[in-house]
Amino acid sequence: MINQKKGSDQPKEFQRLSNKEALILQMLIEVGRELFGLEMVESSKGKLKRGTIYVTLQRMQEKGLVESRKEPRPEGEIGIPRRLYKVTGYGQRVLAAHEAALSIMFPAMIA
Amino acid sequence: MRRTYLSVAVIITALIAIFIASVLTNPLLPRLRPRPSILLVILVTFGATALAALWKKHRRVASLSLKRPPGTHLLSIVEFFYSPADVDGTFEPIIADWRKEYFEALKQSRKWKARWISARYIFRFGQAMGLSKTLGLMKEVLKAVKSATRLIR
Repeated sequence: MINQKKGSDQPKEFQRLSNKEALILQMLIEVGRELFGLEMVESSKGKLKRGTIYVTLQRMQEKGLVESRKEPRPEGEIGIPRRLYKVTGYGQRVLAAHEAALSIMFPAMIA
Repeated sequence: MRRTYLSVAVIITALIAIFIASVLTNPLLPRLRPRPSILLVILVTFGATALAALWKKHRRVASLSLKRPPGTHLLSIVEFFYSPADVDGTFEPIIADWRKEYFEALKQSRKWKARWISARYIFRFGQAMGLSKTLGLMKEVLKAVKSATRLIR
């Protein structure tokens, strides 16, 4: 996926995805709803770790691949709210391009 | 329980008093020459009793006092060293998960599981701290390299 700078026609750089980022995007797209970080860790079967997932998610958020919001809580409840993550349109396009590139480079692996 | 400690303390004091008296009034009392092993046993008993009393007191005070939820101190540390964006996006969600799992374990009266969860999350928190700082540094280095190559061109 070509990442373009705002207000510029010049392509900035090719948006690369790490394995973890691709896995997170796939998970969010497959589920089709917002997910908590802990849910992603539990459904990844050991591929994602509790200590590193939020660093990855934070980086993905900075890249614009995912967006997050704090979980809505009943009034009067105190403490730190958890975060819900969902994939952005840009994230979906980047994943599609990533998979297309993989299928071209490694057709046997995808098949 | 207090009475037990008191009686143990009285017995030990009496033993020590007899020992001192036997040394001072040598001809009246038979010479008491306790073996070092006996002295060690007495010393260990006394120490263990004192420690048990202290631990009991500590537990009583701890059960009465309000405790902070897990991760409070770590959060204040990262708030000092990291940017608000990092704290908000990386560290707060970890602590939120930590507290969720911790309190779920406590709800099931599984204290040791809760402690184990805390120990694991402390390690994970450290991992996240290291990773976040490393990535931040790498970003800075890449920026510097990019700007340097632009200048050279």
